[in-house]
Amino acid sequence: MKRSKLILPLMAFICAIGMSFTTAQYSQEEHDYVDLGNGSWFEIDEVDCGEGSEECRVQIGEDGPIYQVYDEQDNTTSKQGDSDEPIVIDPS
Amino acid sequence: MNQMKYKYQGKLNGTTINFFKLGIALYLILLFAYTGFSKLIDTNALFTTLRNAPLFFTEHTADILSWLIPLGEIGIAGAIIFEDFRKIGLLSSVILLSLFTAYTLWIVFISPYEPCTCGGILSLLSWKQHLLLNTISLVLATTGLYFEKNKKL
Repeated sequence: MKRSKLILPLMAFICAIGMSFTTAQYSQEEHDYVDLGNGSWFEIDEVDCGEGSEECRVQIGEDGPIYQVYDEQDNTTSKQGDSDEPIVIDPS
Repeated sequence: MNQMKYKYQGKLNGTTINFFKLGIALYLILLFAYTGFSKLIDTNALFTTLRNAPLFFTEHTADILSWLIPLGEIGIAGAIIFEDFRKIGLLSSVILLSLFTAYTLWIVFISPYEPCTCGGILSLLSWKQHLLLNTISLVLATTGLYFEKNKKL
């Protein structure tokens, strides 16, 4: 009886580890980042920049600031696209 | 006859309470282990969220917290697994969930802006949905702690 009381919680723990690995991969694939300066990054939904060698940029809101888009939180992973015209995204 | 009836009711209540206790323990293990490991796998995302949070964490503090929070959550899940440490685990989860709920309340009603959320698939929730989840989890953890109150630490 004592053993069965331990098995269910242990199974839940192992199940949670598996779930976290599968969904972590899912969440990493869906985002891009912009550099706000001072080592601060802001996560945005993945931007479709198209194919090309122009710098991919986004504008946060109609009159908002314009930022370069990055694949990772790393300044060497800037995204390129078919136009340097900023893509307007929803600030929320 | 009445004595038998009360004895039966007492046994039934005990069984029901044990069922609830196990259910609450399993829910909290899943919640804390899942969110803890999700954050640990991608500490960069948590670091960014903490830096962007309207609490003005320094880079150093955000770096420490991005490791401390997931490790704490995994520790709580680990403590709830074992009956001997369950009371400590439940008490810690009530404290942590109270802090999370207070923070979420502040984000929803007071904060000047809402930073992006974090923690695996839970990042798909809005802040208001997060607040509801935190409140339900806090009520369950408090109920679990109430059931465990007669056990010694």
